[in-house]
Amino acid sequence: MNKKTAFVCAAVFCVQCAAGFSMIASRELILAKGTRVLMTVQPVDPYDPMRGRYVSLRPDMKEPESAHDSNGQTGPSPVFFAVLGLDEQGFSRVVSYETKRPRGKTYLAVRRHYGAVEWPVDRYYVREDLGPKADAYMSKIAWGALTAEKAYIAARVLNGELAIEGLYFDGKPFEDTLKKEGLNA
Amino acid sequence: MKKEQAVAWLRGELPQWLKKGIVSEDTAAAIRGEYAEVGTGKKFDVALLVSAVIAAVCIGGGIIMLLAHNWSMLDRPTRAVIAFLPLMISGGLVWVTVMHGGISKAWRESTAIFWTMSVWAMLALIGQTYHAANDLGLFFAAASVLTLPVQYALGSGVVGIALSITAAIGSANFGWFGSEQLWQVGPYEISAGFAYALLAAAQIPAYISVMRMRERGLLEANYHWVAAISGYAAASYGILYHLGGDGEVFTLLQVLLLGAMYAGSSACAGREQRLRERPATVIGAVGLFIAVLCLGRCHGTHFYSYAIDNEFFPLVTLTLFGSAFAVSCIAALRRCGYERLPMLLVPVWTAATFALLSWSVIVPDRGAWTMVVSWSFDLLGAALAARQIVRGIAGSEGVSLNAGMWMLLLVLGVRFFDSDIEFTVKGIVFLVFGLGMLAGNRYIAQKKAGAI
Repeated sequence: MNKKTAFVCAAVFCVQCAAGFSMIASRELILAKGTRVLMTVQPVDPYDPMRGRYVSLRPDMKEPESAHDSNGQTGPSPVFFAVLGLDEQGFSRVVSYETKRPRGKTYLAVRRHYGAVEWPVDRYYVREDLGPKADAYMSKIAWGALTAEKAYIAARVLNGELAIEGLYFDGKPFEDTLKKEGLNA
Repeated sequence: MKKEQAVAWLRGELPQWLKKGIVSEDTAAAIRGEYAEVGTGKKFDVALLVSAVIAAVCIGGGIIMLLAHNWSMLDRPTRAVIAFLPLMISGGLVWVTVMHGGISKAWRESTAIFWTMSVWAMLALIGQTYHAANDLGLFFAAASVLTLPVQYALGSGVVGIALSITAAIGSANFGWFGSEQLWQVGPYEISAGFAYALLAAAQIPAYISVMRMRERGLLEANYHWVAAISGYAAASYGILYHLGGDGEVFTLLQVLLLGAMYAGSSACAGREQRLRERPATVIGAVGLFIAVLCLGRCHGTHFYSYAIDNEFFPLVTLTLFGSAFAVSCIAALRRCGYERLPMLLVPVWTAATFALLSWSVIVPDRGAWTMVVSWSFDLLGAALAARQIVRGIAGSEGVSLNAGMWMLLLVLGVRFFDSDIEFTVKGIVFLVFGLGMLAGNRYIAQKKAGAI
C-alpha cells in the first residue's frame, strides 16, 4: 500500500461521508424550513430486509380525475408537480398538477407509474414489535372497525421534497394510541 | 498432483536421499529453503481469508444489530450521528491497512468487507431515520455505487464478487425499477437501471486484470467465474432488455453477446489457458450451443415473424453488439487461427437467417423458409458436435470427445424425441449413440495407456 492508495481511500471515504451527510442535511432542511402538511394514509403491508419493520403507507390525496389519465403510458412519466391545498378537515389534498415548478405554492415533485401517481411517502419505520400492531390498527381504521377519526402522517414540504415528522392515530403519536389501546408491549 | 502435495513429497524424500548420498547436506538445505512454506502457506492463507471474511461480516452485523436494538430509545439527531459510527470505525481500519506495509491479504479483504458493510449500514440507518421512500432495488443501487470504489481502492475480490452478484440481480429486475430516479445531478437524472449498468461495466477492468494474471489464487479464480456469469446476466437482462426490446431481436442480441464473449475471451486468452481459466469462453460456447438447440426447435411457429421496423434502440443495440462481435471475431481468428471458427459461425448464421426471415415476411411461402432455417440449425448443432468428437479422438482428449457426444445427444434428443419417427428407429439411434460413446472412451483410454 502506498500514498496513492491512501489518497484514493481517503477520497472514497470523503465521498461516502458526503453522501450520508447530504441525505441527512436535505431532510433536516426540509424538516426545519418546510411547510407542515398532514396526509391521511391507508395501510398496505410491511417489511424491508435491510432497514427493518415499517408501516407501509398509501396517501389518500383526493386527486383530481385527470391524475389518473395516463394516456396509455405504462412506464414512469417525467417528473411533474402536485400543488397541495387543504380540505375542510385540514388535511392535504391535490388542487392541481403542473408541469413546471409552481412558485409561492406548496407542492410535491411526483411521477406517474402505470397511471397512478407515485407519492414520496410510502413507509414509516417503526420498532420491530410495534410494526404489525400499528399495521393492524391502521387496517381497523381503514375498514371502519374503530371509531377513530383518521390515520395520518405529519410531514414538512420544501421545494417539492418531503420529510416525514411522525405518524398519528386520532391526533396522537401512534405509539401513544397503541399504548392507550393496550397494544404497546 | 497439486503443488503443495508435490512439495510435501519432496521434503519427505530428502532424508532418504541424504542417507543414500544422492544429495549433499548443502543441496538438501537449499531444497528445503526453496520449497519451505509453499504448501502450508497457501492452505493457511485460504483458511485465514475465509475466517477473516466471516469475522468481518459478524462484527459488522453485530454492530448494526446492537444499534438497531436500541434504536427506538434514541432521538433523530443521535440516530443520524450513530449512522456514521461504523463508517468511522472502518475509516480507522482502512487507515491502518493502507499505512501498514506488508499487511496480509486476509486483513485487507476483511477490512474491505467491513468498509462495505459500514456504508450499507449508514445508508440503511439514515433511510430508516428519515423514512426514505424508496424500495430495495433503489437502496441496493445507491449502496453498490457508493461501495464500488472500495473494491478497487483495496483490491478486494470478495467485494468484487458481492458487487457482481448485486449488478446481475439488479439488472435482472430492470423492468421493475430500471427507470426510477436514484439521484438528481443538476438537470440530469440518474436512474437505478443506469446505476446497475454502471456497476456491471465497472467490473470489466478488474475482470481483465484477473484474466491477465499468470497465477490465480482461489479468490481470483472464483471472482473470475462470478464476474463472468454476472456480467453476462447483467448485460443480457439489463442493458439488452432495456435497449434492445423483447422478442426476436432480444434472441439475436443474446446470440451476438454470447458470440462476442466467446470470441473476445478466446482472443485475450489464446490457447495457452485451460478452460476452467476462461469462464467467458465456456459461457459463450455453452450459450451458443443452447441457442442453436432453441433456434432449431422453433420451426413452424411464429418465432420468426419479426421484421425490423426501424425502431431506434433495437437498431442501435444491434449495430453495437454486431460490431463488438465482428471486432472480437477478427481478433479471435487472428490469435487462434480457424480453430474457433465453427462456433463463431453460430451468430453469423443466426443474423443471416433472421435477415432472411424478416425479408420472407413479405414474400409468399414463409412456412417453407422457416422449416429450412430450423433444419439448418439442427445440422449446425450436429456439425459442431461432430467436430468436437473428431477433435477429441484425434487429440486423444476425453473431455472433448465426451463434450461432443453430449452435444450430439442433445441435438438428437431435442430434434427426434417428440418427432413422428417410429420408436424402433429412435431406439436404434440411441443404441448406436450409447455404443459409440463407450467405444470412443475406450479407444482414448487405450491410446493413453499406450495399447494403440
